[in-house]
Amino acid sequence: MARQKVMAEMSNPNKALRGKYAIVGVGQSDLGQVPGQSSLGLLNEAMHNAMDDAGLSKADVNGVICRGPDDIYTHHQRMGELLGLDAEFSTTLDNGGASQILSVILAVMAIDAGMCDVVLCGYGRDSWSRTHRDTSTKMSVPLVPPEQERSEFNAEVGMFGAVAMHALGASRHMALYGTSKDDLGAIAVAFREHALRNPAAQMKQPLSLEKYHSGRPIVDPFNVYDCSLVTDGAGAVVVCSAERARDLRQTPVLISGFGTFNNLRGWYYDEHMTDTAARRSGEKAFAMAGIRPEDIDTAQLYDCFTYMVLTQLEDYGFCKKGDGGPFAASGALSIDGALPCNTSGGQLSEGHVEGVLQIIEGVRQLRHAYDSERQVTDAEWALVSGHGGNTVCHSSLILQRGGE
Amino acid sequence: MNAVHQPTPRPSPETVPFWEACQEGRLILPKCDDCGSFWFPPSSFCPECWSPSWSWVAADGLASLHAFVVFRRQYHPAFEPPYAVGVVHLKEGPRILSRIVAVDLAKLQVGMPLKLTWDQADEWKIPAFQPF
Ligand SMILES: [Zn+2]
Repeated sequence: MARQKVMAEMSNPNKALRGKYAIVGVGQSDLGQVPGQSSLGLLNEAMHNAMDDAGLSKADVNGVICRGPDDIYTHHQRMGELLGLDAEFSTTLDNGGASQILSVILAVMAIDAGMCDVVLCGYGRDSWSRTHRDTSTKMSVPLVPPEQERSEFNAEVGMFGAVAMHALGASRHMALYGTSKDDLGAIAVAFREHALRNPAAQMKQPLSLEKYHSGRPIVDPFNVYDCSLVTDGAGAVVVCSAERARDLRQTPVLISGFGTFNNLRGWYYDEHMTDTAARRSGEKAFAMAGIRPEDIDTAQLYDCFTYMVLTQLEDYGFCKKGDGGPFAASGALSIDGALPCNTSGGQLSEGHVEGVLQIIEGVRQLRHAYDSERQVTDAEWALVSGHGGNTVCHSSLILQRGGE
Repeated sequence: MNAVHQPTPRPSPETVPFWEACQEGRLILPKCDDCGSFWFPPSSFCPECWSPSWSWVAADGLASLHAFVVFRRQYHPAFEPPYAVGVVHLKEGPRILSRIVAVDLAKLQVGMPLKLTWDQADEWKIPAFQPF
């Protein structure tokens, strides 16, 4: 039997797609504790808002790509029913937090292949309500729902939840590179400061480094402030051609580059915990967009946990491998820093909606939608990231502000 | 009050021999007859060369600590915090998730040498590792 090559040459991204498609509408639901709505209801609201934002109507949409809780079978069918839509192209994605960027990528691929023209993408989940409906479930609010837990080689050794899985990576990074709790804390503090400027954010109280260190321990090296929030919420985006975008309501935000990489051999394999799939996913996205990390004006990075931001800063090439801690601690991530990062507060402080809010924030920054205190000055380029399956699958999106 | 039961494995058809050996106090791994690779979790083809020819081979129980965490919050009534779980790098090559027992939690270190021991959960013997 032929021996499979360990790693084939990376394929070349198609540069002809650079800037050919655009995000023309974004929308979200209320965030936080929204007991009156189901997962599907939240997403329905976000999708309606995204369509209103784009100035498009139901008759314009012929593609639907979405994701929700894993216990909703063929999620896109349920959404289509609520939206009253048949679609030429539609599917549900199963790449965890990598799915939301992947839905935008897939939309571009489907439109380019002539499968459809206007695609509605989104994610929604009643994460807070489903864990608090009954006070008896309040004791345990796992970020990993039971249907995602493995049947063996996990719980019998006392392993539970996504916090511990990601904390393993932080533990190894600390051992290899001397990364400290101060470094992780700098990330939590910077994003909380951004959340205080965002009225929709769940977190309303300031967070100092001192308060960070006194946070309730969960799984060392993570305390409660290293962990993203439990959020009822949804977000949606509308994708169509850049040509069509010119006639629409909003300043178009061009999809300039994208890439994916999947460390399918798992979190424990090789150095996947400290050298994540963000690296190769990002290389592809930068190659398609024809720019370099130093050209990025704002980064919206998938922050399920503080450490995952730190390693992505390295993996995307914003700093050298091992220097993510000092880079974060330097203040680079704040709104007026060298790399304004997670300017809405991120999943750590705005709300965890599996990465879709990061796409929305990237778009709004490039539209220059905000007042000066929340706006990254003259933002032209944004990087957005998503990862899922405990950071096995990774997707990257590079967005550019389109012409007036 | 009812007895608290530790979660026990729900083996798949491919992992039944692994768990049966555990009950006899043996840690066994699939080893490829063609390329010599060990792998985990057990499966029907070598993940390196895709050979269907392989054998169960006893691991010698030596390992090093690839990464670890210490649980401070209680997730399950049978697991009283604090306790340590690590990714254990077996001498044969594969990495497995394991309890790290018989250790002062403050002395845990990435890279530290470990040896096989056993944890008992109801009628199940579960592999665990301890420093030595
Ligand atoms: Zn082989």
